Amino acid sequence: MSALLTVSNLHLSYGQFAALHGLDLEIGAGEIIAVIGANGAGKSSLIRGICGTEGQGRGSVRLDGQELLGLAPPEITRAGIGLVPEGRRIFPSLSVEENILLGAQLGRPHSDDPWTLDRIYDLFPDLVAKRHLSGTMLSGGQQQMIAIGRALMTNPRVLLCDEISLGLAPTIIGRLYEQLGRLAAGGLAILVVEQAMRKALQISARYYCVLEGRVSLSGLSAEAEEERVAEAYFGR
Amino acid sequence: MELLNTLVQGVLLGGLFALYALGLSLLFGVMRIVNIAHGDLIVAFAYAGLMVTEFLGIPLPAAAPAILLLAAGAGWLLQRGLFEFVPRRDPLIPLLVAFGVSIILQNLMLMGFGADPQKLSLGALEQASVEILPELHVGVFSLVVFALAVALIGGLQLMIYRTAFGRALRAVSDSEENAAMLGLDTRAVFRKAFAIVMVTVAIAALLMAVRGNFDPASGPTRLLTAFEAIVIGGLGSMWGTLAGGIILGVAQMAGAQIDASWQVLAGHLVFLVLLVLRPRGLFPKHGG
Repeated sequence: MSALLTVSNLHLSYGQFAALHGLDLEIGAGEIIAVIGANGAGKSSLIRGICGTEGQGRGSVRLDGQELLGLAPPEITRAGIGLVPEGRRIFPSLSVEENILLGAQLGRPHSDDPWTLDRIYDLFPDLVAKRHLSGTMLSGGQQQMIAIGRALMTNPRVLLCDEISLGLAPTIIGRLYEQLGRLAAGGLAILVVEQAMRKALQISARYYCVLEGRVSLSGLSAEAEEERVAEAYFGR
Repeated sequence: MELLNTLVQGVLLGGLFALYALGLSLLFGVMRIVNIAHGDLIVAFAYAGLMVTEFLGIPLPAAAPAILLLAAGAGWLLQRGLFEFVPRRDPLIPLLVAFGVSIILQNLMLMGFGADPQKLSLGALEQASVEILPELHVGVFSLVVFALAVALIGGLQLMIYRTAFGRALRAVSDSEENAAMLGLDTRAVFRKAFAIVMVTVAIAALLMAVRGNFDPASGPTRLLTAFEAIVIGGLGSMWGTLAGGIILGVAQMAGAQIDASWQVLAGHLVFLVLLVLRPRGLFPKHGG
């Protein structure tokens, strides 16, 4: 399988502090991969490195052959990287609908099968009745739906989901991941960053375990042995 | 009748005060910059109007579009060439930079135009008046100023709440960091915002310059009036700013009835009283 997004030997540092020390991973179209690791292992830095939001990067991040490293975040979003950020980052001054529409302003203008508001509402019918409320007045799970909808509206080729299960009820998490599965079946490449190891292995095809800024273990999620993954997770 | 006349004149004057305040309010709302140079920028564009009409001989209505365009360019340049390089983590830093701009502008204007008061002329329209009620005459120009203020506020509201650019503005105002993280080009938003702010500055400047005298030191007074209108109305509410301007205008006109020297003082006194009674303004954006 030829990869859509290839991260190779990615180093990322914030001033004197180095967060990533040569990280490699790849995602193919239609694939969900899980990046798991403890707090401070470098999961968020990986997202920042791909999105170009923070830190000085070295190495390579290629989307379908296009080098993203060194581009500004708006260019990276337009190239086809959609971000569902940790903590959802919904704008309180914008309504649910406006939060979603904001995505359309940021993303790829030309796409074969562009996302529309209607398609987002088909995906998350819960949002329809609340579309005129302030985005932050909704429940955590519904805010996560807004954040996913906003990212989809950028017409991404790769969707980065940073800790989307954080603080949500298991049933909601299940529903969100069910929808992500559907999106992947439609050809979207999805990278899921998770602290919850079991959940992450359940919903992904492959996994990468990150420890101290490097990939400590990777493989097929179905074949992952919990003990070895835990070792790679905690670094014992 | 005297009372009604004072009231109407005050309300109309309030429109001009609101125009002073719009750009200041927008700039603070979006970029958290307290633009101390706001009043001086108004005066600078009054001089721009003076140069075009007096020295080039182009009548003001014909020259206005070009001056507004110039203002938009100047705003874009101020952001691109100056404020973009000013860290805004601490609000004191852009405030001090704006203070520097204020001093520079005042001195440049003093060097270029001298300290003599100047005024723009608009010909017959300045003196024209209509009788809106028996024995109640209102200047046509004052009505035009007020109508422009209402139209500009309405237009800005539409822009902020009904357009894609307005969505971006509100998102950046909520959290610049989050907006940038999602791939919003915040620098482009700021440049456009500053350009729009300067258009409001130029509109306020031309109308101010027709209404009365100005000189290179007039800026700080305009800034103070703008501040007071914003604070009375409640930060972040443009219609509130108009209400604040109207209250100041009525207070000034009522003060002037007592004695000419009371005009400005009455405005400040009303501001102080309202600040004590309603520190968050009459129409605070978020309740509680």
